[in-house]
This record gives sequence, C-alpha cells and structure tokens, in this order.
Amino acid sequence: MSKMLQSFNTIIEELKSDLGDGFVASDIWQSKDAHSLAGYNSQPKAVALFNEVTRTLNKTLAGADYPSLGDYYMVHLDNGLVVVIITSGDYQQGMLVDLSKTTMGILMSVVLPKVLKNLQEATS
Amino acid sequence: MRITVEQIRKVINGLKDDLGEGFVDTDIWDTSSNKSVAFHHNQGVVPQYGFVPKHIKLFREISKVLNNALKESHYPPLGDFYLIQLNNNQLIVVLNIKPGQSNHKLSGNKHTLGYSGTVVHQQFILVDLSKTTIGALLSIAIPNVFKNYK
Repeated sequence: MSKMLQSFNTIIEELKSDLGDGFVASDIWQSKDAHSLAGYNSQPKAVALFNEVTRTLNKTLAGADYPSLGDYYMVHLDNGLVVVIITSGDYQQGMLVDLSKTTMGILMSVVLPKVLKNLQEATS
Repeated sequence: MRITVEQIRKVINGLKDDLGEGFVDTDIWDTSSNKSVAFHHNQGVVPQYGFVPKHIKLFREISKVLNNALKESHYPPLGDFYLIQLNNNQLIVVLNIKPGQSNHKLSGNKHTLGYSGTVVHQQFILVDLSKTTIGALLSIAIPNVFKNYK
C-alpha cells in the first residue's frame, strides 16, 4: 500500500475515535476521477455527486466574482446530519456526521482543523 | 409565511450584536420569486423590492445543485443551512427559512434549529472569520436568526 493510502486510512481511523458514534461515513477521492481511495461506510454515488457539486461551486463562485472555494463547505440535512466536504489540491474528503451524537464544537474546532492538516500533509 | 419588517430588523440587529465586525452582508429573498425582501450592507438596511441580484441567482443555482446531489445520493433534503468557506477567510452562510413549528428545542442536545416544511425564504450571510469565530456564528448567531423569525 502506498504511503498516501496509508495516510488516508489513518485519517479515517482517527475520525472514528474523534467523533465516536457521530461518525457515520467518509470517503477520500481524487477530483479527476471521483473514485473512493479510502472510506468508512463508503458512498460511491455521493462521492461522484459531491465531486460535481464542488466543481459547480468553483465555477459559479468565479462567475459571480466571489473569491474561490476555500478549504471546505458544509451542508446541514433535514434529519440533523451534516455533510462536510474538505478540499486539498486535487483531493477531496467527504464526511457524514450525526450531530445528535457529537457536537458542532468538536466537529468544527477539533476534527476539521485536524483532518485538513492531515489531508494536506498526505497529498502534498 | 410572511416575513415582517419587525422580524427583519430583529434578525439584522441580532447579527450585528452577535457577530460585530465579522458581520459583512446579508440578503433575504422569497424563493418563489427570487426577489429580495431586504438587503443589508454596513451602511444600513436598504429594501430592494423587485430586484434579483446576481448573488441570489448564484445561491439559487447552488441550492438546486445541492438538492439534486442529496436526492440522487438518497440523503435527506437540505436542512437549516449550508456554508461555504472562501479562500479569503470569509464564510458564506445560506439559511433555509421554512414555515411551521420547530421539531426540536433551541437548547440542549439540539441538531435542528429552524422550521419544518418547504423552504419559502432563504437568507445569505457573509461573515469575516478574521473578526469573529465559527463558534459565535454556529452556536449563537444562527440560532438567534431562527429564533427571531418565530
């Protein structure tokens, strides 16, 4: 297994311990082909579709004269779960998190900065 | 659901109080007509009746793409909000304002803040994260916005 894939698997394992029961699913993929390279409760269709959402966001923000997409976007779902998509160069990571089993504080202040750092290091 | 001028004032004053200089801009629009109900920049509240600004078209498009992706992925539809971090350390928040009663309390182990039902208004908020915190936004400002619409 390549060093990069090992790092991706470590990121997923750390998410399990940091989010506990709040961790529902995650995938890491390369934007050019949108195939999951590492995952937990992997969601191949969601990977392909959110890869398109990221592409559309980049295109529409540029078209509306906004700054480009930063490191992440987050979507709150009707059942209280949240989808977080993190971008790092040509790679993306999606996470599905249950906020009834963890807190927004843990997600935004502990997990997100850690995943961002580890994903950037793994893909640099 | 009809948003009143009093609710708009409370929402905008609440954002100023909760986010301070981190509050950059907001716009509230009707999702059926895409017409702006109220727009705020740091000069004050300026109603823009009948006007469809470029950013409303942008967020209408993004909301549509997100809803399609969620539906195709067999996920639930959009909940109370989505947010997009920009590479200048600003954050776009789009709130979905729905009629009906809240399913969940605003305190305790909450995970849904707003109303249930169809989205009738959306609100865009631009936040400068160099002048406020993500915690103030997610734990104080956004719950207060939903509270002020009730």
